Amino acid sequence: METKIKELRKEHELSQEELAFAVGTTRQTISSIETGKYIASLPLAYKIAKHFGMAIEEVFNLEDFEE
Amino acid sequence: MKMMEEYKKTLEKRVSLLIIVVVVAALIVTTTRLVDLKTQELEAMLGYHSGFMTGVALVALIQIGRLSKIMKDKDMMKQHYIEEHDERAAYIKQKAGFPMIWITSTAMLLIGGATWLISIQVFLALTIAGAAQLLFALLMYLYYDKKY
Repeated sequence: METKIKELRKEHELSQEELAFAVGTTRQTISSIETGKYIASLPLAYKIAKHFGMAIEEVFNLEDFEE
Repeated sequence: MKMMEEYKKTLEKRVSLLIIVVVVAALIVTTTRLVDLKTQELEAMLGYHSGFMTGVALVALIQIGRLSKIMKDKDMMKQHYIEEHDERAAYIKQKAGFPMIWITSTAMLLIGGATWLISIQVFLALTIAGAAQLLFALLMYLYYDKKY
């Protein structure tokens, strides 16, 4: 799944570790979400989006799930 | 903050349980040393149990030290909480078959040890199967860790 996390992180000058600590997950999880290897759960996606003050669909590309 | 206080209590309970494990393991090891060994087979069986319990006690002692250190530092405790509750790690563990693998493998090793005097074949089968199962789960864990 494509996400804008990497861009948003750079915009906010945050490292993977800092974002992970802020949303209560590990750096490895943020890295896996960014590379599309792992799909975040709804609560985690919500926390990440909320951290950047955005809606989930603005951070995560949900087109793959639309029929 | 309340969540961290509750987590600290959970860690304290874990340390208490680990102390019980160390005491029980020490008692078993001491008892096996005091038993009058009449046969070589019995000596080998008690040696196996003694070695197994020494290993368990050592792992428990290392864990006690680690958890005690974590409990003293708030940031370390939060980091540990995050690592323990990380959804990706939980997903990978679930895919690799944990925690059932721990439970069944430990049961196999303990029951295997107990059946030594009854049947050496059963002992070998259970011990090898228990160890192989653990090894396979570990390989699966590494595979899924790379995949996700």
